[in-house]
Amino acid sequence: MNHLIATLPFILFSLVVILLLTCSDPRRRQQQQKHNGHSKLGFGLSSRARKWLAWSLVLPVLPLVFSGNYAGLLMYAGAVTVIGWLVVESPASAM
Amino acid sequence: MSNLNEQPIRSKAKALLSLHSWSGIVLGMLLYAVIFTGTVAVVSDEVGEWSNSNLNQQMLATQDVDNVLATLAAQTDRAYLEEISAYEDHRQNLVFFFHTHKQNPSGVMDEYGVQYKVNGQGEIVQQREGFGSDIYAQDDSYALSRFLVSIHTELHLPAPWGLILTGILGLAMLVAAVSGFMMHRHLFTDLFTIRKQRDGKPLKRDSHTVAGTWSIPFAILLAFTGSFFSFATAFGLPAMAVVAFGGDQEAMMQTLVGEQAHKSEAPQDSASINGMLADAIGNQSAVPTFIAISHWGTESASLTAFFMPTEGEVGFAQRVYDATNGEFVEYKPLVGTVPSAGSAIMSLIYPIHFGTFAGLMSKIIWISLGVASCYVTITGLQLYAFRNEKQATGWQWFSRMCVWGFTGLPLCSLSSALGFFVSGALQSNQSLWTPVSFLLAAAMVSLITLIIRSVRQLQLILLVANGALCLALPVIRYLTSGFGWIQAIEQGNVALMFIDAVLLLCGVWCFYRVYASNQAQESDHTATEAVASEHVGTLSGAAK
Repeated sequence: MNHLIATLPFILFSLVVILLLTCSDPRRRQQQQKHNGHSKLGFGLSSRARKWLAWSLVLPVLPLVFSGNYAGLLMYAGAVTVIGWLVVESPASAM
Repeated sequence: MSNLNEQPIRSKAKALLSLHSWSGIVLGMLLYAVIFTGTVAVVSDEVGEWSNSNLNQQMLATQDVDNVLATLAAQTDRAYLEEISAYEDHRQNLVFFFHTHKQNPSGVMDEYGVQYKVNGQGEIVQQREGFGSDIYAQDDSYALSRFLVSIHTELHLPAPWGLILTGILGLAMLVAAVSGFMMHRHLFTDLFTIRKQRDGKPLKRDSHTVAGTWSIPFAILLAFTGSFFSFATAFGLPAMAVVAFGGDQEAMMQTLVGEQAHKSEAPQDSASINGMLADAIGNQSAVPTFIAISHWGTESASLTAFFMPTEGEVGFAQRVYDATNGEFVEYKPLVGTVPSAGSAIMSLIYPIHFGTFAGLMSKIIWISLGVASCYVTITGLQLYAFRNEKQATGWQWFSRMCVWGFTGLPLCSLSSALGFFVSGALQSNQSLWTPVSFLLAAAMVSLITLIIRSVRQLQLILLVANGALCLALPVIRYLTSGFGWIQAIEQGNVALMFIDAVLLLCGVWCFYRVYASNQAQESDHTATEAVASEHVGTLSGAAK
């Protein structure tokens, strides 16, 4: 059970990062402006910052590997996949 | 110069698109069937517990296994004492299978012997003799979970054709995933956006691409491990038996399992099974899923306890005891007698394919991955149907087929659960009525598909039927078992509550989809009427 609890913060971290990446996506903001006349989220990130943010998704792999939590590592990878898909699938008008 | 460079890139992209499309179109519907039932197979244990309204009692830890074993062994043919497997079934019985090994009528090595089901009071409630595969196929407690898993593994086709087909489907999924990845040039730029059509609905192509891109790593992993399972059983093992063991399947299995070919059968009292079990449970902090006792009552006696992955691990664990003195011998590799890379990989394939390495949490993630893969298959085929329908009206049959398959299969699976409960309540053969209910529902869905002309109406009817069954099944389960949520909460029966909750959620989602579809059609209708009246107004103004 401990290894599941240890994995949960990393999954939440990936949710935050993916939300940030999705909200600051230039194409998504462009789409939103085209449909609503304005973008709900008033922030954009430079492509360099977005790249760093995307790479930060790999960071949790290190503590999971070093702590021998291989089940957590697999769960984290699966969760990133599912969260990514579900967040992007949510309509642009919602965020 | 740049034009010259672009030409081969374009033709390569076109070739990849053709490969991607055809691998999906030709096998897409069957692939959907395998992925959908694979998603259900992830929770096959929970479905088994749910369908019997049961909570695992950890009977291997709480019952006096020594006493029961001695009583059963005394009334069993000595030939069947070669190996005894024991596990807890979904109806609070300990199942003991005293068996030897021999070829079944299909020419495959199988277990043959006597199976006893013993309840919590130590009474024999069922006794059967025969091949292990036949006895398991007639076990009513596994009727529903076994049926759903069997669609996933072999589409209920005779061996080895079912396995070969699912293996090919796995390869088709692999081809579609890899070609999809290679042909998409703006993979990461398109990862976060789904464009909208003029009517405000999401662009089908983007929905397909986004879901496909996010799930590519797991699509490849699951397709590869699935193909491996199918081909290893259908081709790999028989081929290995012919090439390396001159066709001797028994010798091959002894080498793979890592067992000595000739064991001493000299009688010797065995150590206490309860003692070895207590030691294994204490060390693993878990109760074994099953145990196998070899050559009990001889000087070669041994006990293997099989455990699901422990804290943080992904692979299964097997603890081996010397059953003559009860001492722990080793953690046995899955393949062979010494640890090897091959054995380590083999022990990872099953948990990775079915997500059974971290209890319900990993299973929920694996179910979500299955849903994402189903979504990719559905949007891919819908995209093809949509494009062709725009170009040629004769392609409406393809959209009809998509609705038939995508909405019909869940309905048939739910109907098999209905058949399981009703036949159970009527004391009928559940192993027979579960598949028959599926087939009856399939015939009904096919008939409705042929009768109803409007594809939209067909989809709505099937969605309503799905929703109604999803909402009804937890109620039917409760009525047939008398086991409700209050008891489930008191006992901590998470599996039962999880399946009930998933069904209720799916039911609500189906009815929401029907409502949303009707609302969208109404607003389309209003918009069309407004445009028409505006048009009439303009024309009459011009006439004046």
